[in-house]
Formats: sequence, structure tokens, C-alpha cells
Amino acid sequence: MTMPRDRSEDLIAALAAGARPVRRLWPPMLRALLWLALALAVVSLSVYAHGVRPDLAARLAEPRELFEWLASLATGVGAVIAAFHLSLPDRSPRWALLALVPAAAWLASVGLGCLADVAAMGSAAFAWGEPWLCFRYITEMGVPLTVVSLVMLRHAGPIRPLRTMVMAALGMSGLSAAGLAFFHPDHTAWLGLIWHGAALLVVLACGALAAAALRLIYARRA
Amino acid sequence: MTAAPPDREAWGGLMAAAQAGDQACYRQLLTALLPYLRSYARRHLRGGDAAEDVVQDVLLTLHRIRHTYDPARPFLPWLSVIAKRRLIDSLRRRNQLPVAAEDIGFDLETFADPAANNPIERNSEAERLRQAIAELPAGQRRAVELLKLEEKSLKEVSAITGMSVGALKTTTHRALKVLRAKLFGPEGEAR
Repeated sequence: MTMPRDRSEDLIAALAAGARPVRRLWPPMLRALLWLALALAVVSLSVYAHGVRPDLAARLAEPRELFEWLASLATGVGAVIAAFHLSLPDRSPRWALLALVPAAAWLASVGLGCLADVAAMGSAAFAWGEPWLCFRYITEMGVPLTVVSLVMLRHAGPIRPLRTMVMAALGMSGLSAAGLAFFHPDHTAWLGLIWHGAALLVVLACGALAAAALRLIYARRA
Repeated sequence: MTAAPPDREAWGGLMAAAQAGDQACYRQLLTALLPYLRSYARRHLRGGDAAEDVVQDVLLTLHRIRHTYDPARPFLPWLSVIAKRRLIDSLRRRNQLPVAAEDIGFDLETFADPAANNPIERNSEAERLRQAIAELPAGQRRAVELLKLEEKSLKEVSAITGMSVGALKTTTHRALKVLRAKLFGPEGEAR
């Protein structure tokens, strides 16, 4: 599409002549909250379908469990808000902190869980097992929701596609993990770290692929 | 266009009108932006054609995502990020910039008066670094290119060059010392 040197004036004439009215994007915070409401509704429905574990109240009464759950939820909410801001050219990259701070708290909480398990169980805290449900649920929820985010964040293609889509993926992983806590069976913190971490990596990779797709679409149309 | 170009304060308003479909305002805005975008691109790219490619890429991007501009916010930060992203993409395509380097300012303030631009500003940081690397001895240059620009591991570079990891570390250390002196130190310390 690029023209010879000093023909940019022709490009300007062509762009101006073809400029139709455009509908401005709604404010990023409003769009993020709408998407959050929709994503949370999807996660809530799936939780309902799986059935809430009967001892949920007792489990969340434990301060560390409650903190971990709140941190995963805050990561999800913060990352979605961050993604919608990062997708715009004139918003600060520091919006990412809104997700990274709770994500660090989430990780720290799981780490503390591992230490608590070791203190209580000794080497049994590292016994191998396969809470496959955790991995499957987070990826099954996170990947499609990340792909849907791509549609809403497509304008990030020429600006910050990778950061935007990785944030969107982190958001969907956080919300999925928060939903998972309502019904998943008990397992050691170490296994949680491994399987939740693996699922998170899959969803983040999906976000990176989505970013590459956005970049490609932009490059083709430019 | 015979009318006087609009000043920068008017750019946001013109963009808002363009979003509403006012083609005359849109043309006026893009025409007003052109000298600034050219000046910006030429500060960072050697070839006139390459700079003009970036200018057109910025115009196309601006056009495609013009619905993302919020007239309640200043126009320049919005434009500057678009210009910066397109320039970085162009530099990466031309291998003039390491992938991690993104510190390319969009300083419109220095454009209005050409006399205010000193030679260091005209030669961009990327260009100075590229030249300094090109002037390194062959062994040091190769080590810097592979380790720092292509971000290969010491083991990979060792396999490619046949140099030991220890020798590579020493060579790279010396190369970086030379580069640091060339770029930041007085000329007498350069060699």
C-alpha cells in the first residue's frame, strides 16, 4: 500500500475522500466492566452446572484460602480492565500493574500454601497426582473467552497487540480459576501450582497467538 | 490548501470532526500532521523512502483506528504512540534496532525550528549505536551482534563461532566497554 516518496499527499487525499463517520469506542472502563459482567456470567453458569462443593463456606473461612480466591478474582478483574486500556494508544502501559500486583499476591499465596503443606505433611506435600479437572476447566473456559476478547480488542492490532492479549488471557485465567474454587476437589498446593500454572501457560499462549493473529490481520490490511 | 495550517491545539477538534465524517477537516488535519511526521521519521531513518514509508504507515494506522481517539483527551499522546509503534516496526524490519529497544521519543517541540536540532538529535541513537558496532573489530562485532542483538545464548554463539564461553564473555565485555566509551565518554576514551 505504501507509495513512492512524496506521494503521501495523494494518500491523504484518498483517505480523506473515503472517510466515513465512525462510531467512537465507549470508554475503556465501561467496555471492560461490560465484558467482565458477561464473562463472570459465563463462569457462574459453568460453576452452577458443575455444582458448588458443600463445604465451600468452611473452606473460604480459612484466611489463606479466602486470600487466594480474592487474589485470583482480582487478577482476573484487573487484567481485563488493563487489557481494555492497553489496547488504546493514549493510555499508560502502567495499567498492567492493575493485574500484575494481584497476580503476584496470588502466586505468593499459592507459595505460602506449599510451605504450609510441607509444614503439615512433610514430603507428602509433593506427592504426585493429576487434578486433571483443574487444568481442563481453566483451559476450557479461558481459551474460548480469550478468543472472544480478541474481537473486542482488535483495534490493539497496530499498537500493543501482545501486551493487550496477554492481559486479556490473564484476565480470563483469573476468572476461571476463581470459578474453579467453587467446585474443585481438594489437592495439595504444590499440585495446584503445577496444574493451575500449566493451564495458565496454555491460556497465555493462546493470548500470544491471538496477538500474532491481530498483528497479521493488521499487516495484511495496511 | 491555501489556508494557514491549524495549530496543534486545533488537532483534537479536527479529529473529532473527522470522526463525524467531515472530510475537509480530516484532510486539513492530515495535511497539518504531514511535516511533523516526516520530520520525526527522518530523524530516525536514513533513507528518505524509508522515512516516507513510515509516514504513510502512520497515516494508514491513524485512519484505521481513528475511532479509538477520545476528543476529551489530548490528541498528541494518541498520535505519538501510533507514530512510535510504526517507526519501531520499521526499524525492526530493517534490523536497525534490537528487539528490546523501544526508547524512541516523539518530541514535536524540536521540530518547529530546524536550527534547534543539533547533529546528535539528527543522528538517532539507533544510528549511532549501529555505526559504533560496525566500527568494532570483527570478533567483537560478531559477539555483540549474536549475543546482544540476536539475543542468542552463550552456548549457541560458542557453537556458531567456535569460541569458548569464557573467551566470548571477555570479548563481549571488551566490546561493550568500547561501545560505552564511544557513545557516552569523551572521544579520547573511545579507543
